[in-house]
Amino acid sequence: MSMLANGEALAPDILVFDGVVKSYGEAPVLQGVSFSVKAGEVVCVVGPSGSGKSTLLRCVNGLEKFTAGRILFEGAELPTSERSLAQIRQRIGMVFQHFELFPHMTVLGNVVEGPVQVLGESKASARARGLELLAKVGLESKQHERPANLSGGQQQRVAIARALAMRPDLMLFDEATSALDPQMVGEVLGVMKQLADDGMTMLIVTHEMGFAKRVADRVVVLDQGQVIASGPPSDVLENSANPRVREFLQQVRWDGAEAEAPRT
Amino acid sequence: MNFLDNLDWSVIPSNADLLWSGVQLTVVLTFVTMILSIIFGTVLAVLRVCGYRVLSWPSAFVVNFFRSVPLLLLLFWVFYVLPATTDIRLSPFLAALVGLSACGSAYVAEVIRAGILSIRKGQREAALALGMTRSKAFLRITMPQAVRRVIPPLATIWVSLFKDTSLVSTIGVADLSHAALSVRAQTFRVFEILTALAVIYLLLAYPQAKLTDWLHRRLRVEE
Ligand SMILES: Nc1ncnc2c1ncn2[C@@H]1O[C@H](COP(=O)(O)OP(=O)(O)OP(=O)(O)O)[C@@H](O)[C@H]1O
Ligand SMILES: [Mg+2]
Repeated sequence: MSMLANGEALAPDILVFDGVVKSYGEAPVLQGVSFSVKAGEVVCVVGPSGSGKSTLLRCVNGLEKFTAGRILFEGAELPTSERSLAQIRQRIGMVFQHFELFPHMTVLGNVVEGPVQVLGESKASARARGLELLAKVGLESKQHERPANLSGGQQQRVAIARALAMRPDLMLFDEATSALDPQMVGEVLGVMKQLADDGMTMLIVTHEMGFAKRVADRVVVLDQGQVIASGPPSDVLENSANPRVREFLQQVRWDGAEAEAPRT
Repeated sequence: MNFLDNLDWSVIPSNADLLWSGVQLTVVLTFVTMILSIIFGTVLAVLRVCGYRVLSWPSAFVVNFFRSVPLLLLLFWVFYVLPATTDIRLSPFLAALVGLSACGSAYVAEVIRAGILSIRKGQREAALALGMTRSKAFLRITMPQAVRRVIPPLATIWVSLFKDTSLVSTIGVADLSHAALSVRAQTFRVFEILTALAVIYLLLAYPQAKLTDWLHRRLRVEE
C-alpha cells in the first residue's frame, strides 16, 4: 500500500474519533464523526458556521460530553470521571478564540500557573521555562505586564505559551485568530506554523484557508456534524468534486476577501 | 426667643465618656458582624453555585429567608422569641451579633454569588483545560476574580450595616445610638443630641467608605 511507503502511516494515532455523536436535546450537532490524528500531524478542521467544529474540539478534552461513539487519546478511551479527565487535560493544550488569559495574573504568571499548580513544578524552574516559552512567542519583554495591556495578537501568543508550558502531546486550536484584528492574524499564525514545524501534533479549527493549505497535513471538512471531505489540503481545498465542499469553499473565499480588505 | 440661642451644646462634652463607649461598641459590632458575614456569606455563596442541588437549595432558602425578614424583627426574634421557645438565652450583645450576622451573611452571599456568576465561563474552561480540578479552578481562577469584583458592593453592605447597627439599641445593646438616646432621656436636649449623633455616624462612616474606595482601586483588574 502506498500509505506505508510515505512513512507517516507508521506514526501512532494520538487521537481517534470513532463515530462521535453529540446532540443538544433533539438537535444533533455531531452525527458520527470519524477520523484520526497521528503523532506529529497537523489536521485542520474547516466548515461552515454551526457545523460542529468547536463542539468536536471541546469533546476531545471533555469540556463537552458526547452522546455516543468513542474518542481515543493515545490509544485509551477518554475517561468520564472529572478527576481522570483532569489528568488527560494536562497533556492536551487548548487555545481559545477569546484567549481566556487570567486577567488577575501577569503574563508570566499565566504561563507558570499550569506547571506550578497542576504539575507541581517548582516556581523557579517553571519561571525559567516560562521565560523560554515567552521568548519563543516573542513576548519575553512583556512578562510583567497584565494581559489587558497586550494587543489581541500578543494575548493569543501568551495563551499559546501557557498551553505549551504543560508540555502537551496534542494542541487544540479553536479559531485562534477569529477574534483578532486582521493585522494581528499573521503573528499568531506564524507561531502556530513554527509549532507545526517543531513537530507538534495539532488539531486546528480555522477559517484561514491559506494557512490550512500551507501548514496542514490533512484537512477535514465538517458540515452539519458530518465529515464531508478529508485528505491532503491540495485534494480537499483545490480539487474537491464534492458539491457541498465546493459551495463551502466559495463562501470562505468570498469572506476571506472581505476580511483582507482593511489590511492594505 | 431664638431657638438657636437656647441650645446647650455642653451636654455633648459632659457625656463624652458615655458616647465614646457607644462608639466603641458600634465599631466593634460592625467589624465582628462584617467578618462573620463575609465568612458565612462566602460559604453560602459557594454552596449555592457548587452544582449539587442538596447543597444549593438549602443555601438559597437560608439566604432568601434572612434577606426577607426585616432586621428589627430578626433582632426581636433572637432576643425575645428564642429564649421563650428554646433554652437559648443570649446576652443583648450576642443576640445583636447573631441577628446582624444572619442578615449580613445573606446580603454578602448574594453579592458574592453574583460576583462568581459574572466571571466568564471561558475562564473556568481555560483553567480546566490546563488540567486543574474543578475546585482548583474555582480557588485559583474564578474566586480571585470574583472577589475583586465584589469589593464595591461589599463596601456598600459594610456602610449600611454600620448604620443598621443602630437598631440594636432596641434590644438594649449600649451602642452609640443607645448611648445618645439615654443622654437625651436624661437631659431632654433632643436637638443637640440627635445632631451630634448624626455627625458622629457621618464622621465614622465617611472614612470607611473612603477606605473601601481605595481598596477597590488597588484591587481592580482590567479585563
Ligand atoms: N450549549 C448549546 N446548546 C444548544 N445548542 C448548542 C450549544 N452549543 C452549540 N450548539 C449548537 O451546536 C451547533 C454547532 O455548534 P459549534 O459551536 O460546534 O459550531 P462551529 O462549527 O464551531 O461554528 P462557528 O464556526 O460559528 O464557531 C450549532 O448549531 C449551535 O447552535
Ligand atoms: Mg466554533
